[in-house]
Amino acid sequence: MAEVLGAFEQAVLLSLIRPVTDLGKEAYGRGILTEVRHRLGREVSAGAVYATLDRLEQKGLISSKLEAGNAVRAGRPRRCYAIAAEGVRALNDAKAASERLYAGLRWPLRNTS
Amino acid sequence: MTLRTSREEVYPPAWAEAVLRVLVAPRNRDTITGDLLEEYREVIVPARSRFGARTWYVRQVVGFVRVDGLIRAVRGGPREDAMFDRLADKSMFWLVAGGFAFMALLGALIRSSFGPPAGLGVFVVLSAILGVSAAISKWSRADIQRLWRIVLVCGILMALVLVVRLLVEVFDPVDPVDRFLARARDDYSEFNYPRRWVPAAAVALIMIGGGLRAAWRTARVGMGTIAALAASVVGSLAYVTFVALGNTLPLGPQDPLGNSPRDLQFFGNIPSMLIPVLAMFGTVLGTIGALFGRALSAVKNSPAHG
Repeated sequence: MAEVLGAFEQAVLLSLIRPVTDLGKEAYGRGILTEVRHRLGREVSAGAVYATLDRLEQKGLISSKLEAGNAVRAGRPRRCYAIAAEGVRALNDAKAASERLYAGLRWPLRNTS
Repeated sequence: MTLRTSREEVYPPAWAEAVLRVLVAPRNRDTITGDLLEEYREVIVPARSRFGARTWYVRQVVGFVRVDGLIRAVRGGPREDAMFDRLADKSMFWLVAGGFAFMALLGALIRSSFGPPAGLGVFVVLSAILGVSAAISKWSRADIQRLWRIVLVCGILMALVLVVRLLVEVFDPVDPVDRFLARARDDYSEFNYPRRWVPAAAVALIMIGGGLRAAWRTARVGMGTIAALAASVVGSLAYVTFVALGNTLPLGPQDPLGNSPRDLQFFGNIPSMLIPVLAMFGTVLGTIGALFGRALSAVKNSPAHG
């Protein structure tokens, strides 16, 4: 089984696999940051997202390539990301692990103590 | 004549961008600074003042300072469960930071025999830096909803301690000559006079506790600082109001130190300087408590909160 993904790593991977914002569909750093903020419904530090992207790439769960920048970016390139097959498998594993964890419980949970 | 600046001519603070380039990996320097520049020009600058936009950029740069990597490098190689390792690392970092700050303060107090710490100027500068950095951090309506109760409870507790101390001084006064002679002795220590240090310690604990609770709930050190600062202002304002109202009561003039000259009011002069002094100590002590609170929240929350 692949390494257990944290909730934030899952949010970043999910934002790559099924983006819902226009910017998120462009799948570069800023777009992914917007997508993760939208998905989690709260403010997220840019540093946290870029660090997670780096980590996921080192694990082989995503890949990246450089694209040319425009004038607004002062010509600086964009790094565009794509989820790898290993990343999809890690998400499936994370979902299955979560379902196993909650299996057999009746919702909503009540305090029995 | 109005001079218009085109979008492409607007740049964030050069020093902040230079710091960012140092903080990120060489392969990402251009892409990350490009992303932030794009956001800065397209979204932030049109929506905020020049100062607000520059502050936003600096805050983003601060977000790239990662402590967990440093700590993991010091502690050794990779572990089996990366997620919980990250939580432990962050918790340990905040705990060490809080412990270090607390020990530094305790050391300063011991050196001054539990009197006012020697470097009062350091406290002024430190509290100003902490207060301003907390004030310009991210705020939300949810934060205010979480904090107001903590501020109110801590402020009332602080005011109660101060009022009790004042009442003891008024109704069981110490001879000012005795106090003066005691302070002149070489072996003088505030620690020998519980009437003085117990209320001070109680107020300090309330400040630390308020900072801890607020940072625990919000997972942010800045919110702990703000909560303790606000509680100090609320507490001292309530106390000053109590003194001012007490002076209007027809109880006859009385000096808190035992004399009763006619020109003195029942509770003495209104201690308005107490407000900035308590705010200053509240900021510093609240931040120390907030570091511990942040450690607790790191155990409870996901890595994204870090």
